[in-house]
Amino acid sequence: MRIGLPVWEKRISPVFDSASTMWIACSGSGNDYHWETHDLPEGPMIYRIQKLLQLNIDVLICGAVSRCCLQLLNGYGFQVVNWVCGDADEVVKAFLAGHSLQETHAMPGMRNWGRGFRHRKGRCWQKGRRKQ
Amino acid sequence: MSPKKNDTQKPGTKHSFMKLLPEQFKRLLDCIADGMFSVDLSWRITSFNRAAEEITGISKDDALGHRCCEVFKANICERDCALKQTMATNRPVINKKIYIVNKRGERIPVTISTAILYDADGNVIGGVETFRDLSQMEALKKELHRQYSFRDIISRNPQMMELFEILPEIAQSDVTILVSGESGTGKELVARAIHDLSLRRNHPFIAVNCGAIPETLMESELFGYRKGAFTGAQHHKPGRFKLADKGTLFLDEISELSLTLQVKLLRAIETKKYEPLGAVSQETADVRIVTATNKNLEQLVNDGGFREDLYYRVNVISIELPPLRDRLEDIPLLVDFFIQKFNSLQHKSIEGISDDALSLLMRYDYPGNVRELQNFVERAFVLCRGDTLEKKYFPEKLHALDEKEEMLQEGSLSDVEAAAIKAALRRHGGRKQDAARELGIHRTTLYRKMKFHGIDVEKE
Repeated sequence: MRIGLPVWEKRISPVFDSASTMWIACSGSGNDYHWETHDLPEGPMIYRIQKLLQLNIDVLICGAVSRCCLQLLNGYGFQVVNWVCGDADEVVKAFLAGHSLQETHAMPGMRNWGRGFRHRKGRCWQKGRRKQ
Repeated sequence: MSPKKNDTQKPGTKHSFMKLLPEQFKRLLDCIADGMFSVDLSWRITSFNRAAEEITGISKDDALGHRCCEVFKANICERDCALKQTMATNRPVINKKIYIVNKRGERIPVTISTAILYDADGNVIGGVETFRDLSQMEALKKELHRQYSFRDIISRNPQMMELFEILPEIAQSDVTILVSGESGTGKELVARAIHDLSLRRNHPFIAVNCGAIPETLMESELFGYRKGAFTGAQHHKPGRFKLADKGTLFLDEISELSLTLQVKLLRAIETKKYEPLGAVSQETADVRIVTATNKNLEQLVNDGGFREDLYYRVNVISIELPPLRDRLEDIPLLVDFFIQKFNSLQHKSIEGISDDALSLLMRYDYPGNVRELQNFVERAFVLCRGDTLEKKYFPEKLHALDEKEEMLQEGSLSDVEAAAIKAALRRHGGRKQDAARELGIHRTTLYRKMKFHGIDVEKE
């Protein structure tokens, strides 16, 4: 599994829309993983998403993300866990251990906000399905 | 150790800004309309006023003690933090325009100003940032400039406005797009807008209506043919794929493609290669595909009328256009747009539409969507002799709706019956036989009822 996290100062970037660095936790079987680091392009959001597609990410764990950006991410079939903050390493460990990040690493004021999307698969904008 | 524990640590008491503020001053801060927060030297929030709570959607209790970037969530936090800049240069930032992401995921435009905080001995103890919500001002600006249009698509409907916001992003990529919506909702306009906003805008936009071309000709239309490929093929003819090279190919009513052709189309999309009829080698075309349908493709796939693999290939991004009956608020805007358009095309100077006529248009449910509305306005334009489109210039079926409503307002059953008879007679120019047929009663019954209600055909 490849878990993407926009990271700034070793913590989840506060806003995905303007994040500049993507860390990817590549995990095999079990809870072991290693990190890859990539730059995220500036400019239109679509460049950023194309980069994520190239990086072949299964899950994106991020902080705040604007609604239009989230729709695009869902449109491209990404599973998104948003409103998360904290140390990137700790977040990945919690995620791999099966903890709800909404409980353990929610951004201030966002605990259990939008509860229920934790296991939701990405969908195409409005009503499509993930590209097979 | 969980980093969350560190997050929730309250700021050190030594430099706590809150402790330095008298209670009255805190109350004063809560009264101002601008958001304000202060931070200590470790960027943790030490005060957060009521306006800040309202603008960010985060309560003071949730904000205090946390990193400012994780509460404020501004686009500049990571690369260009204004407070950091102020601390480093000792110069305030004044009215810098940025955006923050609020609790609902909305981008809120704000202006920010920053300053350094000192204690009584002149030591720096943190910083303060004030911010003003510009979203209302931006909305008013939009209202002033009537920015309810996007290319040639006009709407103030929230779902459409959301589409306007996302369309430039979608257009920048090369992914295949499926535009769905009822007939007349503007699917081709969306496809054209996508092309115009894309990097392919200087190359051709080719539209093909798959439902309008006979199945037998469709393959040669799409992929072209070579001289001698069939009887009558006297020279090479390029297909739409070739014509759209480096541009956009819009396939309208894609559900009408035969299953055989769907296989060829899928191959052409996947490999960017196709074989014209009668050719011995493949040709390449760099084409961005935008498709449209007014049918439920997913249902068609389940019914076996559309290939599943092609469905997933064309449905990478799906855009659904709402029917006009779900966005009636757009009718005044659209009517205004069509009036301007037809004024220019027909060299007329119609000033507008009467309130009665507009209210008539608002009551219809538009099975033909925007195209039907456009036809109504065009018809009224032809008939109009004055400078305002009056109710009488619009088709009879709209008046029928009006009459039905009048009938319902009449009250008693007898009144409704009389109104129905009068309306039917009016519609049929006083022809009782036709009126009786429409009402579903015998002609003699109609005579009897007319006599009972005192209806005179001449008067009606």
